[in-house]
Amino acid sequence: MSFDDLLEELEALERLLRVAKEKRKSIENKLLELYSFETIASPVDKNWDKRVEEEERAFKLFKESIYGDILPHFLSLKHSAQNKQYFYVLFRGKKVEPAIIKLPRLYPELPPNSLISISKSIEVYTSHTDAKKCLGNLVKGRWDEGGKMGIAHWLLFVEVYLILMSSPIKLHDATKFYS
Amino acid sequence: MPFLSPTDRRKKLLETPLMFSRLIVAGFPIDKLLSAKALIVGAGGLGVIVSEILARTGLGELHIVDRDVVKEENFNRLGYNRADIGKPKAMILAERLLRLRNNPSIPKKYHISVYHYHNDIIGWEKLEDIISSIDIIFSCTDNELARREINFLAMKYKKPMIDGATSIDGLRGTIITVIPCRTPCFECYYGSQTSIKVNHFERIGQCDASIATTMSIVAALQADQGLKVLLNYGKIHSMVKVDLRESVSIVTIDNVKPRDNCPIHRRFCDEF
Repeated sequence: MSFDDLLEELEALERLLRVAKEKRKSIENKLLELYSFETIASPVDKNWDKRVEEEERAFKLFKESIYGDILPHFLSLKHSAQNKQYFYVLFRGKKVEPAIIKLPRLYPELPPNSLISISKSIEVYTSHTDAKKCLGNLVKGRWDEGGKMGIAHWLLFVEVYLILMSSPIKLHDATKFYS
Repeated sequence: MPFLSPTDRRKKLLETPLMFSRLIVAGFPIDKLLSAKALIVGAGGLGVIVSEILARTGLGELHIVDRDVVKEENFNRLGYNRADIGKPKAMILAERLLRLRNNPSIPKKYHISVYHYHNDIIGWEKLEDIISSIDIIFSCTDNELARREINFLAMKYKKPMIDGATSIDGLRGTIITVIPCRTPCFECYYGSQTSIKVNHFERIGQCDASIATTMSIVAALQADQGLKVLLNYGKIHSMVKVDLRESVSIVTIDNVKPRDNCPIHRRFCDEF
C-alpha cells in the first residue's frame, strides 16, 4: 500500500468516526431536549434532596411528554426514605409489581446501576457479564456525564432494551443498529 | 524488609503448623498476616484466586462479596465445580477456605474468619462498615460502576485498594494499586473527565472472553501487590500491565501522580 493510499484510508476512517460521533451526539441532544436536569448532585451530596424532587418531577414529565407516555412499562417513581441510593418504580410487565433502582455513589455522573423487580420478571444492569441482563452499549457513550440526565432518561434505555428483548432478531445483531 | 531472621525462622518453624512451614522458610512474618483483614469484591475468575492465595498465605480475616451464583459458563476459569451450580459464589468460596484453614488439627490461633455476602455492592449499607474495619481491599469485579463505587469508599476510609481487570479479548490485564492520597486512584485513570475511557466490559447481547491463564496471572499479581502493602516490603507499582497476545509481557508503571482535577482526591485528600 502506498503512502497516498494509506492517507486516503485514514481520511475515510476519520470521516466515518466524525459521522458516528455526530450521530451519537444528536441522540444525546434529543434525550436532553426531553428534559435536562438543573440540580447536579449525587446521593453523597448535601443538596441530594433537591435532585430527588427533580428526579420525580422529570419522571412525571416523561409520562406526559408531547410524544405521549414514553415510559409505558413504568407507572410511578418514588425515592426510598431509608436508603439514599434506592428508588422504587412500579413496573408493568405481565403483571404490575414494584421494582428497585440502585444508584451508584457517583450518580448522576455515572448512570443508575440496576433495576430489579420483586419477582425478577425484569432484572437489568448498566453493566453485567450476563449479556441478557446488560444494557451495555445502549447506555455507553449516550449517558451525559455532566449529570444532566437522570433516572427517567435511563428508564428510556430500559424501554429500548425491552423492545429488543421481545424482538425476534438476535440481540447482538439488533444492537448494531442502535450503536 | 520486616521478614524473619534465620534464627527466628528456625524458632518459628517449631511452633507453626506444617501448612505454613514453607512460608516461614521464606521468612514471611505469619503473625502479622494472621491479624490482617481483607475485603474481596467479586468472587469470579480473579477473586477466587486472590482469596485462595491470601487464605493459604495466612491472612486472618476475609470478607467476600459477590452478587452472582455459579453458572456453567464459569467453568473455564478456576474455582468452581458442577456441584456448585446455582449456589452463591461468595458462599461456596468461603466454605472452601474455611475447610482449608480451620481444620481441627490446626491450632485456633491459625484459623481464618471468612464472612460471605451474596450482595450487589451498589447501595449496600453494610459495605461502608466493612470497609472501615478492614486493612485492604481487592477489587475483582467485572464492571466499571462497581469499581468506581469501591474506589470512592477506599478513598473515603483511606484503605489501600488493589484492582484487577482483564480485557475484552481475554489476553491482556491491568492491576492498579491505589494507596489513598499518595498514588492515583481509579477515578484519576478512568473518571468521566479523563480522556482515557475504560471499556464497559459487557455489551448487550455479547459476552466477553475470559481466559484462565490471564486471570491467574492478574490475580497472582494482585495478591503480590496486596501482600507487599500489608507487609510493607518491596516496590508497590501504581499500575502493572500484562499482555499475553503475541508474547509474554509484564510492564510496570510508576511515578504517576494523582490527577489534579480528580474529584475523589479533591473530596478526600487534604492537599488537593
